[in-house]
Amino acid sequence: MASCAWVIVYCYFRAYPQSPSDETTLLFGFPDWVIWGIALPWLACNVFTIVFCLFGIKDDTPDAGESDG
Amino acid sequence: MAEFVMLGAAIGVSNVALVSFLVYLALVILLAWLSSRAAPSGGFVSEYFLGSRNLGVWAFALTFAATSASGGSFMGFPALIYTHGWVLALWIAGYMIVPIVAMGLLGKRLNQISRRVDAVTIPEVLGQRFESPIAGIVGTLLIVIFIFYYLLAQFKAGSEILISLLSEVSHFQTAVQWTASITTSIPLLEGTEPDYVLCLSVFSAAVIFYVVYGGFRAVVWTDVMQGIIMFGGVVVMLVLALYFTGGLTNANHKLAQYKPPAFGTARLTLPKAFTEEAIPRGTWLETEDGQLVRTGRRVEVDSDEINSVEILMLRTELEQEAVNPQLIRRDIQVEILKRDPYAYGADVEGVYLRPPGPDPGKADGFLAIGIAFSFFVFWPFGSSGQPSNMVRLMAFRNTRTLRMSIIAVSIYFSVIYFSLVIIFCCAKVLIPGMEINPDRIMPEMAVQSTTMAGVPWLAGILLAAPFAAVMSSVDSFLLVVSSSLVRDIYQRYINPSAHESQLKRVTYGGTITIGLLATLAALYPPRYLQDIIVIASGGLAASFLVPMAFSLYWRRATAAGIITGMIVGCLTHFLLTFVVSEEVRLGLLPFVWDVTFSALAVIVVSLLTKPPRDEVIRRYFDVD
Repeated sequence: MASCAWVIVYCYFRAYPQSPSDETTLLFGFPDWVIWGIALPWLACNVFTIVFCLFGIKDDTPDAGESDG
Repeated sequence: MAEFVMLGAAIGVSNVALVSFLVYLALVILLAWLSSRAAPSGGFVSEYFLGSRNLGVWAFALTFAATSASGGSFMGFPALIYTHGWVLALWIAGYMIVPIVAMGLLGKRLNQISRRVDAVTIPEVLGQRFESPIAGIVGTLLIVIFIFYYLLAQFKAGSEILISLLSEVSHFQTAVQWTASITTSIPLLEGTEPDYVLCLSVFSAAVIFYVVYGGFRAVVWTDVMQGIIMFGGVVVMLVLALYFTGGLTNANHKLAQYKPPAFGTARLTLPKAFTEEAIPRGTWLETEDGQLVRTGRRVEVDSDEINSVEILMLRTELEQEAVNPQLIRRDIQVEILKRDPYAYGADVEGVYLRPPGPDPGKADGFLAIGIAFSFFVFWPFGSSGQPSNMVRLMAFRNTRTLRMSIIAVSIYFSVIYFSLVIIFCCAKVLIPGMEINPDRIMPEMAVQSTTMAGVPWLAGILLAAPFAAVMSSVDSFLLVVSSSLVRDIYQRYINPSAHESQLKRVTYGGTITIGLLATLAALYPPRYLQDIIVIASGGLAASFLVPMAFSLYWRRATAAGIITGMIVGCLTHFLLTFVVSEEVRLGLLPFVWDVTFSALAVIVVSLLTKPPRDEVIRRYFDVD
């Protein structure tokens, strides 16, 4: 939900043109909204995924009946 | 870049590319054979349909990733990027949470429960969990109906990719002539294109063979290879695209000056000495005032003056400079009769760099914010609801495998999808005028970039990437349908005491029959295949995601609630897709409403019906 809010809210206000004269600036060769509104949250999601998988999901035997960690 | 476009669209794939592609096919068959030798003896059904539930990290991660990426990822998605620009980064952004949601949401629990009840199919899990044969039957019917249509569309996509790859190869043209001599004498094949029939036959034969021969294990092993090819292909194309555009900054500076082309019609006046029977689709022409246009269809020549020829017009000088002058036919006079500019972004510079992206038909642009939100929800949850993905969640070895695989798939998707957006924004700069047939941008880019780089054989490998994507989806879906028919229909209702040799015969026969039926149906495919793929995959997710999630996590869920949830999800999907307008849906995709109504149906009906027996609850929710 956090990633969804970040991407949609940021892109709505900073990527969609608010006036016809709006110009897109580049950052590292990318349109800047792609860096701040897509790449950065994507990176954050990957970091969260790695941390959650390494420390948040409990190992168990295949057929144990425990609920998710 | 000038060198790049000198080759233009006329370049075909060399015989070397054909050889490298045949090597790829041979490897697929070899892997199927090796996998069948590696299979442990005994337990035919569990081994054939789930690979004995013993997938390791790389096998599980790559089979999941390869199955998720269908032909759409490598043909339709590049076409969208080419047509609408950087906004596709927002369109695909939901993939940032696909691994954690699609694999993490149901993975561990589904794996545990399927082992506990020894289930090998999704309908079997539902039927056993609720002690309800009807839940299993409804699930089986939904799977067979939706997946059959999905298979049909993918068979067509696989055949089209093969045609793209082989159309310029002399041996292939000979084979097409030979096929034509056969198809003309068969009434069933009347009206079909011989090249399409030939490629469909090769594609179907290869997929059906290795799925029948090796079952789930072969599918996984070939998926692993195909997943590696997709990854490698994308990385190589990224390097070539950036090299030929002079870097991403340079590409985007040019893209910022591009304006969307206009469609329209023109009158062509031919020279008196004109002897050709037709003007090919994609031919570049020039008007008297220097405007470059491209024919949108093949034009049959029946007089010196041809009216109402469909054309595409470039709008900026920068794009016109990117067209190889040697490809422009100056002997044909062009008079533009009608211009149809894009409904959004027609005269706007920089429109390719930002949302909502240019669109030929929609006045508010390609991607309204509501649709962007819908896709952010659809990708992760739609992926979670695919039975082919759920089956893979039943097959990993242990929780450590799941954890490591989620990480691997996260990195895999990040690289693949980000790279594709970059590659095909660069393609927009390198190869103008492909709006006449944007679905061909992937093969066009592969062929042109590798030929210019002096490695034409690499085109075979790059084009194998979309082919691998289609193949790895088709094989998985084929197995899901055949497992449902064998396990949920034959073994449960027709012959419950079937011994192993009978099950083998029925499994092989069933898989071949379904494959052949899909092949026959694909001979005359419906027109709008991409729509069918979206409707079928959306329908599967709408039918299965919510019922399966409640089955695994909610003790109070009942059989009636789950069955109602599946049916409501399915019906809502059809209703909102075909009947209800976008305004009524508040600008959201049908899927968002499908899962909402499906969840409400499960909750309300479950609470109104008799709770499940305590013994069943203890069996599935309380530790032994």
